[in-house]
Amino acid sequence: MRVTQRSLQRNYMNGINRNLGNLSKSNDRLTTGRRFSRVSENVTDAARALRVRDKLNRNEQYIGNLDNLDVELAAQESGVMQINDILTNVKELMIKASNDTNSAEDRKIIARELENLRDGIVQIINTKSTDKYTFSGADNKKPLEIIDGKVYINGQDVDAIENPEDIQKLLGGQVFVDIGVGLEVSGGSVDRTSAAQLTTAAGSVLGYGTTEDGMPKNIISLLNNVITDLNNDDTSNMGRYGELVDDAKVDLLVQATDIGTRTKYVADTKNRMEMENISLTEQMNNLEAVDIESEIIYNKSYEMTWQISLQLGSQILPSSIFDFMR
Amino acid sequence: MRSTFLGFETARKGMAASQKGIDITGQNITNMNTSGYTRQRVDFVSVSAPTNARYRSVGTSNAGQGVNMGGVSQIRNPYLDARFRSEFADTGYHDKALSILDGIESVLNEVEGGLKPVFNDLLAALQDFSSKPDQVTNANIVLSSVKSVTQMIRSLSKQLDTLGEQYVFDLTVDVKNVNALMEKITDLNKSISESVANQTNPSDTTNINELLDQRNLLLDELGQYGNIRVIDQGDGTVSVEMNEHKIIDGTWHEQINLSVNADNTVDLHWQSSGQKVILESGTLKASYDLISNGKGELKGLPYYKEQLNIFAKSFADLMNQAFPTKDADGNSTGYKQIITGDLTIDASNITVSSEWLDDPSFILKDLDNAGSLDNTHILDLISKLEGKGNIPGFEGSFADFIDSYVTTLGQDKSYVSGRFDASYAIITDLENKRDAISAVSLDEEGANLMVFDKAYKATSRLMTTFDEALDVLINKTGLVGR
Repeated sequence: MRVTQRSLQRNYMNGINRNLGNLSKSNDRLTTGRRFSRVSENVTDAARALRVRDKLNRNEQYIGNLDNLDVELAAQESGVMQINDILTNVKELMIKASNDTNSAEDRKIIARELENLRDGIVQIINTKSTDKYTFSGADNKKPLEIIDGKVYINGQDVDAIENPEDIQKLLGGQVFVDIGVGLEVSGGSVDRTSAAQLTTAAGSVLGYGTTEDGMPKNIISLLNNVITDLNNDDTSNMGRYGELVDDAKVDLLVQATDIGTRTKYVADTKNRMEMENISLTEQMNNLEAVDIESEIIYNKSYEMTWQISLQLGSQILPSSIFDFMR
Repeated sequence: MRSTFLGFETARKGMAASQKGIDITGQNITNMNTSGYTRQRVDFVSVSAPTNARYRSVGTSNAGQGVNMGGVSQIRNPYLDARFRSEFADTGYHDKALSILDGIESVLNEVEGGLKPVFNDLLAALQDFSSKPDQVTNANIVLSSVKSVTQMIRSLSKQLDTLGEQYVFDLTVDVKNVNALMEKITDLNKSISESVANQTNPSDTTNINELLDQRNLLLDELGQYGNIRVIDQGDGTVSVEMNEHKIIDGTWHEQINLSVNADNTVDLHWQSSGQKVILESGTLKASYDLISNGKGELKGLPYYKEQLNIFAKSFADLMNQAFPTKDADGNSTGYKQIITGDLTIDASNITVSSEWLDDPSFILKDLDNAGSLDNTHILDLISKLEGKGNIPGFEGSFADFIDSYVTTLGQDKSYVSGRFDASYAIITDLENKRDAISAVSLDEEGANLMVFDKAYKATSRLMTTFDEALDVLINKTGLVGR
């Protein structure tokens, strides 16, 4: 094959361009710390990286939601536990009041104390922190009201429960939060297995309806009865009331356990997401980040090749027979 | 019988030939870096003694009359020219396609920035809003993130349009170039054929070699615009076909007309027949495919605009069916329009409705009652924005949709880039092969220079020899006894 200056020159220029191109690409990778900055540079890895990023992004949101949920559930739990403590006090006072050594005046004083305790429970139920009632339903209104001695939760008389709609009204709508377990909404309602419940209804904490012997199940309503009886110096029903307070405490503990389970679930999910984030971040690094050590080695070898080709050029290009003719 | 002074003529011819040889060597060396230059060579022919059957001179009296110059010819391989031009069209196609796809990718770059981040911001804002669905602050955050999404869509659409305009402009320049090239080639056809016809010495082609070089260079250049075939007509002209359509015939040439449509797509027509220009490869095809044709082998600008429009439309439809309006009795009466556009919402006109822009709490009002924590409609919206099957004709989610067109683009570009590298390697190889035949080698010319120099000196010596011999004959012969 006949070798000419023109093709020597062209091949040399092509080579030097390629070498400089490699060096410049490697420099880009080192300065940006990324293996690619366009999808076309590495289609499969880029497509996977985009997905991993989305997943990471979502998880961050879910973790935020879980944090909110955690704060809310903690407030609810402490509320329920406080009510439980108050009920222990109530029980003691009721036993004290049943004692026949008490005069009518003494009982009035106990009734007064019970009133204070009752108001304490009402306050706990009606607690509002940053625009939200701790025990409200979806409508976020003050849950409990006492009008003319009758107890209303979410506008429903707690002693006059006649049909499921009444219970529905009493409990109020529930609020759910997306925590990344496959949120599903159909026909305007959230599938409760696909999201976490944020609200705990005042109605289920305090109870509602009446027992078979016509006694109120609701704690406030029950306490109202106790207070009225004591004010009238009537202790005939105290034993029965005591049993009902014990029942209420059992129900309350069920609620506390329920909130506790939800708190645990929230903590577990958050934990799982954080672990997942660690592995996702690692995946993202593997996909997108440059392996500095090997890249530097490549970079050095590209640089060397480039310098060698420069040196070579100064020798190859001008020389010909003319350098040797006399 | 040999004439007395025959030898002088032989020596003169030899000296002239050597000088011409040095001239042409000089021409080669000086044009070493002239693009398109083909090395030239003096064709030497030894002078044959005239032979005639009737008056045939006997013996060797007329032999040895020296050298004639048969002409100065180019050294070229037409087969390599044809291969080069067909491959050059391929290189041109992939080069142009690569540069356009690169432009599109720099707009639709989801690796750094793009539509995904603003879309994810919106999802985050909605998640926060779902925990506090009664807060104006959160409604405002949702408003600004929806605004970001619509602005981003509009900006991408605008950038694609600008890109389209730029490529249309580039194409008009290309078409002008092609038309100018065709005209120049016919001009050269004319000059070359006239020179061939007017040549007093038909073997002397020196004065057209440079014209041939120019024409070959122009033909090479024309070859990158479309797949051409060059046919030598034998009278000094060439005719050229572009994808089976005759574009140059002698001194006649075709013209390409470009028309730009309202939607910034283009059409190319032959002026002679008015038919559409259909090509197999070349930069014209690449430009046309990627500017005007959305459904070809490579997805072009119309495809990506269409994808953005589908995204914008589906997004708007979903957002406009998210926040219900209710009458006084709490019955649902429809949905609030929070996204608007022109008659049909698309990527170029999607925007947040003025009702919402004026009042961030627009999406809070008319719900059951103020302060409600009911977030079902927000969760519904989130599940639709994250879920699959909410874009007509597409199976996946919104994020998948973005991924899908971005990876389509990435794959196309990566494919074209590979093809370009391959065809560029072939072009380089062919150029080297062509140069191996046609380009100037300094070593060779240096050697030739010495050869012709020596030959010139030798023929000068020849003349001296004859001169001395005749000197003996003329001045020293017949002087017996003097």
